[in-house]
Amino acid sequence: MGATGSKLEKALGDQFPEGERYFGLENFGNTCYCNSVLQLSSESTLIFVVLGFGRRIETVIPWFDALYFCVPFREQLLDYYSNSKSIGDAEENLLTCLADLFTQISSQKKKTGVIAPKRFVQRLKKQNEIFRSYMHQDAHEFLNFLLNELVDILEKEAHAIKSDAESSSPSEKISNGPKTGQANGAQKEPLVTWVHKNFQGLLTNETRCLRCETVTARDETFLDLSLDIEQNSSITSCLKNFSSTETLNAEDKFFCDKCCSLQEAQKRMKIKKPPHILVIHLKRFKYIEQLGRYKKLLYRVVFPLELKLSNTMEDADSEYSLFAVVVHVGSGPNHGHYVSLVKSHNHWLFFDDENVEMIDESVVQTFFGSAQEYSSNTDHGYILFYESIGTGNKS
Amino acid sequence: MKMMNNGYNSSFNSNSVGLMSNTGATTASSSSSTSTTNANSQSQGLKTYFKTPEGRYKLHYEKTHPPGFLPFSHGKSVSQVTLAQLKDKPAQAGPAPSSSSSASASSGVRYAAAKFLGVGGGNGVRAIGFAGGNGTGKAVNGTSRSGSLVGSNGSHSILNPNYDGKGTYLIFNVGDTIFIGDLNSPDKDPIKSLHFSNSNPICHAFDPEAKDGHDLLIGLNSGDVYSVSLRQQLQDVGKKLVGAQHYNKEGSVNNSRCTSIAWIPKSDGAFVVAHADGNLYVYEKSKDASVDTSFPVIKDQTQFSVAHARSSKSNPIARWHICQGSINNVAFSTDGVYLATVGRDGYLRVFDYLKDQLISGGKSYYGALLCCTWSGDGKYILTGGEDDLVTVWSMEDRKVVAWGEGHNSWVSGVAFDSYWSSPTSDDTEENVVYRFGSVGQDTQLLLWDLSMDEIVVPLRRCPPGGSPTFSTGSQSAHWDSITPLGTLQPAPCMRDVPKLSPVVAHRVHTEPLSGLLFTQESILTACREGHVKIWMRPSSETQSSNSEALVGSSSLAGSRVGSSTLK
Repeated sequence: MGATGSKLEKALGDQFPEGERYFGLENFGNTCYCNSVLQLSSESTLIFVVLGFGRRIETVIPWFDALYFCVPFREQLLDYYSNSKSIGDAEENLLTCLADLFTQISSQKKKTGVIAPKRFVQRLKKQNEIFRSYMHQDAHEFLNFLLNELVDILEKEAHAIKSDAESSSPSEKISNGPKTGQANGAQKEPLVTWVHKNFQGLLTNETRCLRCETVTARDETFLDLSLDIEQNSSITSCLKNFSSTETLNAEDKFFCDKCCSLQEAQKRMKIKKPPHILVIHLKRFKYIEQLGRYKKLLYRVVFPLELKLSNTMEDADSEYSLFAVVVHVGSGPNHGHYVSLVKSHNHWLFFDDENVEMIDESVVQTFFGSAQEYSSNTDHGYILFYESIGTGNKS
Repeated sequence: MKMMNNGYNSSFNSNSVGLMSNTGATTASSSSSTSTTNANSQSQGLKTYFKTPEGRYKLHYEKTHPPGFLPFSHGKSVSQVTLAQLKDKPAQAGPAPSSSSSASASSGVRYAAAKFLGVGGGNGVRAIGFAGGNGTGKAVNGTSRSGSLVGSNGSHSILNPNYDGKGTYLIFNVGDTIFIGDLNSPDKDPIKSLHFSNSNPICHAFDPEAKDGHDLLIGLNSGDVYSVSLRQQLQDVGKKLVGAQHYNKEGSVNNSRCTSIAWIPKSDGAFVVAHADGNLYVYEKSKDASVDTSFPVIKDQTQFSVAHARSSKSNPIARWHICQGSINNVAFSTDGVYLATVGRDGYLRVFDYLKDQLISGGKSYYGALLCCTWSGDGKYILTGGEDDLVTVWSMEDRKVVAWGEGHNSWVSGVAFDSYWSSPTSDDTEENVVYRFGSVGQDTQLLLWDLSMDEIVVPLRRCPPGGSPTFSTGSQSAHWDSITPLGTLQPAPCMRDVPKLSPVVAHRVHTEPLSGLLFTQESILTACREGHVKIWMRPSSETQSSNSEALVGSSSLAGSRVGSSTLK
């Protein structure tokens, strides 16, 4: 703890942000349950990797630093925790354990150091059952799982409070009913938690029947965008492909309600409501049918420090700023390690388990990937975190 | 930081044996055929031509660093390419002949090499083979190695006897080395390499009109800057700079990376160096390089400020603080009056260089801008950057007039094709068509035609609460759409800017691209790893006279070899 911590403190000097804490996570011995869970596997059963090879396989919680330095999320989580504490001992769950870990770090006397996320990891262990349904775990699915868990917990709590207050009111979740094909605003708004407020965006899936020209729009919410990637491309280009028009024909025709038959159609995805925190997942792990297994795509995919979504339906183009990158280190999907790059108070930091270092902004570029198929460079940006810096024009 | 320098060391060893036989280059023809075969095997799936409305551009020559070269002793850097033309006069003689001064007024980079093409292609080859052997192989003799890097005043004992003193050269940096290749030789290997032991060269510029022989500028990662005579380097057989002036020694004035360097046109030996910390310095090569100037502390990092040196003897003579974060590229208008800069903050800035004044500029759609260039008539500036767009900026309107959409990744190089003329050839004042090109990290070269009368500017919505035609202010109505002098425009909205589509899109390399140049005969593309390709213009387009006819036939022979090995 001392050595690296003080090194970082020295590097930052009097620029060390007031009240900020930079703590690495201890990757503690045999209890690396998470590590095994994070294993990407093509098998249908979870493989528990025994760390007996003298080699650390995975990071404790790969996206932890990205979430911790997502300031609005952190503040709301800390708020939530201090409020729920005052109410009384709530039941322990993943949310309280994560909040507890955040609180532990933010209330440290020392500015830098290492902390062991024991409670959180133990909680994960207890939730073994849920985890079992999440095979093929990797950092992205793990994050997605966690965010959905947090949402569930918050919704349950809100529901409990509500049903206490007006016991006769029907549950909102149930009243939503099945989604209808036509998008209309008449539906009752679903419960919006602070997790939603941070991460949730709205996609609309427009399908135009080529016979009757009727446009069918279906809205879906998302907590992150998973993008297909191409060699030597940019995130901008991947987003464009994501929203590009796709023709449904041959085997893949569309059932038009108006024509009452299968018809050729054009389909496209648009972002109806961009999220405050835009999480972009690069599909670097691809199932290759000929090989019968997953392969890691080492492609060079550049991501800018600022980004705009132009495929939105809103008037102004909302602008985002990159604040965290989860990096997968390794040449294949079945082994490797995660590190993360985080921007905090205009400094970029490099988190590798218990180590935290300061890096120059330009170092981010070394995690774009490899322009050639065979490369010794195996460190690739995998999950990108952008925060909205408002619409319109900032100078 | 073990993460940062993960090995880049393995990839270049593989065919070093093949290289040795290749470097020997006993005859020009055999060397050209082997290099073509290598190129084909390396760049599978890439076509050796591309079609445009005016005809086929054919891959003519390729230039690269020697295959056994390990470029990463100080880490990686991006290859840039500069074109340099040396005229007949020997180095120590007076001013260069001003035979084609109007054409050469464009910055050295884009200089037309037409006149001397034949000479280099003919005799030059054998001499070049010799020099290449020295430059790339192991046998550097003791005398040249001991020659000091700085100010040895040409006291080297060995001159290259076959060097005939004229030709057109390609200068490109890879890792810790500057390579110089002969543009008109089919030989793929460079004829000369200059090794830098302390820091990587990053940027370079050539001045075809340099009077005292110092025509080549080199900026390093450490912030150090050198000016040298290209001719003198070519005459020397060593791997070190000879007769160099050294500015900003060990970064004494500014120790951040040199990002871009440019001669100031019509300034008689003045040049600017842009740095990664947002500062730009003005030097005069006639002034003492050894005395460094100190400048006052920058009070407000966010504000543009110019500080002139107190002493008139020392270098640099001025510091321009332009922006926070890196300046990525600078370019002077051909008359030397205006300076354009682009940087990390995403802004294009246009300065009246002579008045030390910011006159206009604007922000990218998003992200950093990486490159900029001027049209020959000074009316338009092109920029490219991390929004994957090529932006056309109008000097007159002081705003973005078009966005070129077509790259699938960042745009790393832009250039106007000043040698292209519209096939319709009714270029009246109102109907001017500009041809320009762009290269990107998507490995593509894109060509664009910009016809101002075809661009439809979307209607501006009236600002709420007032009709624009009856503004109550004293300013006349037609100024309403133009922003006041010295203000920077915010990023435009996607739907407010007219879009252009490329005429041609061609994947020219397997690696992300870094540079683009137009010459009268060809288009040059360079990739980040230091491979340069020379694409011959459609043959009908060549205004061939007697001297060029020779080149034409030899190039035909060369490409025939190439295509037969392909099929």
